[in-house]
Amino acid sequence: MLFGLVRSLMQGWVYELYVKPQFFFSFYGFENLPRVGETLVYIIYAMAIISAILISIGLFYRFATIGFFLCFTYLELYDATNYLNHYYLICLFAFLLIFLPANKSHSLDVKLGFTKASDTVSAWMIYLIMAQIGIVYTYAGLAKLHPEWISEAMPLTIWLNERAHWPILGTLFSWEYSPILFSFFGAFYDLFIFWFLLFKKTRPWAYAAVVVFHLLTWSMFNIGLFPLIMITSNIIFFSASWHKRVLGRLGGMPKSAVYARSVPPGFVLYMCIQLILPLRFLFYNSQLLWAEEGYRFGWRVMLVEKSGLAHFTLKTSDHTAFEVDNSKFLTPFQEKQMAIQPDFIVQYAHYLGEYYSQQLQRKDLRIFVDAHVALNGRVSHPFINPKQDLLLIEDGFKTKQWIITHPDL
Amino acid sequence: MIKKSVSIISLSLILFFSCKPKKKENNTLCDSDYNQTELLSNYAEHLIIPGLKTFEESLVSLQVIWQRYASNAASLKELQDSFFETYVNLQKIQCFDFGPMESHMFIEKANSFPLNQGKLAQSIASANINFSEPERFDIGFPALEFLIFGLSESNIDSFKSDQTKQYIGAILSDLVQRIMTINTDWVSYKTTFINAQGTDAGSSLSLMVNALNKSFEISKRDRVGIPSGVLTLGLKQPELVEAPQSFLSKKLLFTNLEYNKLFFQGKYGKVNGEGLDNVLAHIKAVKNDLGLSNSIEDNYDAMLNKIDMFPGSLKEQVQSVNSSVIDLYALMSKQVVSLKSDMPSVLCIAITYLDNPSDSD
Repeated sequence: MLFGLVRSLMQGWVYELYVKPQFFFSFYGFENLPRVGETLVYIIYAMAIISAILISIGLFYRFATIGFFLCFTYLELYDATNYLNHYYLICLFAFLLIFLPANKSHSLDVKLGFTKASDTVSAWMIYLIMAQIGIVYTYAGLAKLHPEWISEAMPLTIWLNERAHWPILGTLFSWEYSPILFSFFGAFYDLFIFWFLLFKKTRPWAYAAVVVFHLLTWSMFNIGLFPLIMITSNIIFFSASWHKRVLGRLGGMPKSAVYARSVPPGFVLYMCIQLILPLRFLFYNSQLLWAEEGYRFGWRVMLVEKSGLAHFTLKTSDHTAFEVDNSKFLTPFQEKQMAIQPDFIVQYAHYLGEYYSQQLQRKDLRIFVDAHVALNGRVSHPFINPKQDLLLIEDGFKTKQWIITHPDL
Repeated sequence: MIKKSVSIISLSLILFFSCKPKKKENNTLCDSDYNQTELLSNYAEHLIIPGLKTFEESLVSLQVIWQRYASNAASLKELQDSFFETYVNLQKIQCFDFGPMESHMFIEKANSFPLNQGKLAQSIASANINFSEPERFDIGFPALEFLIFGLSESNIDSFKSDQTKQYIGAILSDLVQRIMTINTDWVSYKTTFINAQGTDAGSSLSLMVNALNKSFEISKRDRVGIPSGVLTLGLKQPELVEAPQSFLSKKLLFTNLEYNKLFFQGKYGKVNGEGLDNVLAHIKAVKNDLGLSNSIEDNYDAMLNKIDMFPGSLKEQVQSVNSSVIDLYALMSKQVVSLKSDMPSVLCIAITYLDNPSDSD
């Protein structure tokens, strides 16, 4: 985490993502989240970094985990444009860490006497992390069981082709059967790796597969921290005695053992939410990959290749019409993300409505969008009903009737 | 356990072969066996290198005429004619803004408009000829245009003041220097360019598609959208067209879009070489039951016809019958969907000149 935070800071991403934009997209329910501005964002960033350091060395553990969870989650809620599945996963792990006694051994808290050392951890705590990982993989796998992924081999055809000039692996990537093989293998891996990790006999092989798979995807795609998170967190599947052996070799650390105890009801609830949340798309009668209703928080990782254009037109009751210059309000990255996500289009339209009704001093504005999205190597297709006044739409959980159906899906 | 793994493996094999790869009708470049060598050679050898060379000659001759004019050996008319020709030629190379041309920031230094007149006066007075400063709107062709065309007869003396002469001379020699370096760089870059095949962000195809789009969008926004008021709440600003003093704006816009089209077609002189249109035809890209390349070409023609009908300059057109300029803008918006969304998608190319400050997941 520390690595990720420092990296973002060094690359100037904090400025690009939190300071430069003048408008921020929100997650549903967080529309009124205060955006604290440049100085405080940097302070919160610093606090997240300090908490991450404290957690690693095991100092002021409870305080640090709460601090990290709050800071990191706040930064992720700041602008929904930046949503990535693995940032969401970090938020979840950070939340779970608060309740885990990860400072009971090998920590400064123990050395300094802030907490009593303990060699044991309740089994449910381990199972909890395992289950969380299992949910991520399995849902990622289920999401791939889609004709686009399995039989069209999209978008892997595009992505592999981009890397066809790589030394050695390039030849493999450009083989005509590779996209379908990779697609199939990817789905298979995500669906079953959890089970292979779970069983003792297959575990070493499965973990080797984890390392190879994530290193390969890391080198192929621009996916940041995700491979690192998965490679390290999957170590939890190994038994306590294995951990002890390895840690022992690294410098004679104390031992820990596992015993079972009953599970607190709060975490049963947590798991139920985690199981149900990715399935909420079932309540929508729309094309998941296209309309993205119930798409986020569902572990739909690297699933589609999309690009879109959205031009907004402002109309007054006397039939004058103007186009909005998006670059005046959004950064190029925000514009790109907005154009492919219907709820962002509506949020932005409402922002434009407020801005212009104030600037023009009139209340009769209507806003329409001409939006086109190209999906998985196809020509683009109209995305939003151009006759729909976006100011009349309130974002919510109802099926978005104003999204135009894609004929191919 | 072994039994289990055998059954899992066989199950997966069955699954795999039940959806065995069919030869897909996806119509994308990444599914096709298209060889890019002829395409890239055509662009390098017949469009880009000769185009940049012609422009260099044109610019050098402008510099020579300027020097003669400054020493009273050429007339203002000769200077204006030469400037006009060179400005038109500049439009013909706008799509080449990648590789050497991008690294020497040629378009930015040569043609950032609209001109900041107040800044220009200051820069002349203080002899600020540090052209490496970013975001200067008081240099390049817009500044020259104002000085060569914009000053009335009565002000012509100030135009000939030593400070002004020095400033104009500095602009010209800076640009000449840049274009010469670019042409030298292309000698070695040519091989790199032809060899960078594929569809990744660094491939030549991707660079070309991105440059074509960048140039087209500048025309749409700055040459048409802003002056006509489409993008500024209906507030017409005819003085913000390119070349507002000299009535060249129509010819410049026409040439710009004409060469955008020729670049798309890979066409030079009367020869229609291997171009992006041929790639789209090769992969049978179709939009609304029409060939994508045909519909793009038709739309270029519609835009060019529209401009051709303007009786005077673009500036006058905005002042008189702005609705036709707004119609032109609508045609350009339609074209952006094809150029920036349809074409990159079927060519498996990403629009990258708008950079991502983030990872993906």
